[in-house]
Amino acid sequence: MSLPEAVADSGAGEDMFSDEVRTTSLWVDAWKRFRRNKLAIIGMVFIFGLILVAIFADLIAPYSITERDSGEFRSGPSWDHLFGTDIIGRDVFSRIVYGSRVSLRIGIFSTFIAMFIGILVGSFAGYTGGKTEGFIMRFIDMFLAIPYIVLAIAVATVFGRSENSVILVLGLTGWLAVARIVRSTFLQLKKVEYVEAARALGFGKFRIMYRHILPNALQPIIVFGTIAIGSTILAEAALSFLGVGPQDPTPAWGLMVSQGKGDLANAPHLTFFPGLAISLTVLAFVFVGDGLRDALDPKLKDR
Amino acid sequence: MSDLTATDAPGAPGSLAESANRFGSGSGELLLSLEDLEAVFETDDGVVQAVDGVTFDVHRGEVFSIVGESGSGKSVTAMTIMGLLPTVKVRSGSIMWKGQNLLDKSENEMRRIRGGEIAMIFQDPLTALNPVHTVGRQVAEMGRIHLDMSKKEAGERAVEMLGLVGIPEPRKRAKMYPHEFSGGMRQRAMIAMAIMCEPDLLIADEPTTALDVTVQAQVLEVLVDIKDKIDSAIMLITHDLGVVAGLSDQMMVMYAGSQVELGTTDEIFYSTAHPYTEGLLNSVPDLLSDHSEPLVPIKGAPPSLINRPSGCAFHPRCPYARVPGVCSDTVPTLRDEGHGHLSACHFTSVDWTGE
Repeated sequence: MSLPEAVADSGAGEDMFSDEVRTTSLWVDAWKRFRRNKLAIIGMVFIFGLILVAIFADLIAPYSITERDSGEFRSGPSWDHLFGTDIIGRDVFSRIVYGSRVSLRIGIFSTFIAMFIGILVGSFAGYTGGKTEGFIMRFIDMFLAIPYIVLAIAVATVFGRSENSVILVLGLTGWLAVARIVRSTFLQLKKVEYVEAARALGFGKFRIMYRHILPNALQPIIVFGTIAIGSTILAEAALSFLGVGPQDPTPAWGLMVSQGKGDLANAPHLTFFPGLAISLTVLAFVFVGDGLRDALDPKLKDR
Repeated sequence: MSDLTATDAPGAPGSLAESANRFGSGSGELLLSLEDLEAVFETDDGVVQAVDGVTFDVHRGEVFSIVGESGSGKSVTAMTIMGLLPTVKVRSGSIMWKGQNLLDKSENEMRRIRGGEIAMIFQDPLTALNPVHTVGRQVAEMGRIHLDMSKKEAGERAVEMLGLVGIPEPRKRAKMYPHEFSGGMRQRAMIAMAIMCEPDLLIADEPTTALDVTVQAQVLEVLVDIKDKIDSAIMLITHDLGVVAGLSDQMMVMYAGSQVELGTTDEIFYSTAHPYTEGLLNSVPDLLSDHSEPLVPIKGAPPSLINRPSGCAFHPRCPYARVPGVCSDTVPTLRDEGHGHLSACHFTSVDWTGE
């Protein structure tokens, strides 16, 4: 605790208004712990790299996603085509580069939708408790019993196969798990003394829920959200593979794996490179999520 | 019995003598008046009689203490006044606050009263402050919600309040997090939060229990100081008779959910009229004695509030309960011992000691 030093150097009154007192914010502490986790750092660097690739895809990709090299069908990696070409002669490397945009968009937007609904419903259920909570949670249990793939097929049939239907499906199925996590954290935290104190000092329900409990409940939410981005990217790949994801020519990684599966023997690069992209991206998000879990856990603070 | 050990508690010299002339009800306006309050919890094991027929008044300017063992119902009484226990059922009685029954208030009205008119200070300031917000922000928030202040106004007032409770360099400290504060400083911050809106009543639930002995007296001093500055009353909930002796004007002793003794602190300390209170006083160590007299603990344990003993709830542990058919059969009612001093014992102290 920095108290004794702070008291000791408090003699001079002229710096009353300065920010000189070093307050070690919780985030600074968390970052210090996060930095010690090598895998998490590797994952984070990978994700930053991926984001840069997605932003500057136009500069990085040598070809467009539809451009066909008429002489090269299913040809393996070469200097002209770093990851080879696909069955109709498109550059696999360029398509993977552009595909990062699709994956990140799906991962981030559907996780955002899931988080938003999940936090709203979960916090309400957890804080309110009683019959309302029971009703909401049984409703969630009911929907958890429906596999998301079935729902995806239904949505794809109604709204057509597109990136947006994938975002919708994954967002609308993902919030269930978020709501359960948020609810259980709120159940714990609403009995904590500072919440009771806030109530005793006349703070309103929503202020307590979102200003006092939610910031303390962020740790599991952030961790879950990070890993969820990875797993939605994986889910997108699964949906594309099953033919209910985005359609060609969208360079979705899962779709590319699916399209290449017929040529596994003679052109393995068609499945290998997009598959590798999926695996590495998912792993990166999982590593970062794990790192965040350790970094944000206050119980491990003095490790 | 007359050698009052607890009056020698640290930080309390002379205050008994000062308040010795304040017999009867307090001097100020009547703020809070509980009338025969009965509150129960309904559990699977049965009905827990947490508060059983409690009656008392709190006036502006006074320190009213509620004393008792853990589970005697003192915290439940306070929380029921604040309307903070959704599981508790008030069976009968009223809680009159400035002439209006708090039990009839809507949740919205109660929220304005909580923090605005009645504020509470909790036992453990470490867990009662939110770890993710700076201290200044938490204090300022009170002004934002109760006084409709702008961010800047609230911030300024928060710094002022932190200074008032004796936090050095409040402007710097306001930007720090609770974990960067020491225990005593945290409790001061908690007090700053509670007095932000200059409430009429401060309920302090064991405000010093979690603190080092060395800072307890300081925090109590701040509390009483503030009370005079903002002209409020304090309801002090504690099991520490030393604290009570030093600060309190009026006090109530609770046992197993009911009040056993009520009166001015001096009356209760000097002419104890209930064997339980006497037991409590006898179990306080005396720093000035020659150690020839051993401490006398109260035998046994507090009773379950589900199956309370028949008659006087204290009779199984009472050293004087030897009259068959009285203590174990009849529930004692509060009896006036003079000077507004009430006691719930079938006998007077003359009866038990034979003096």
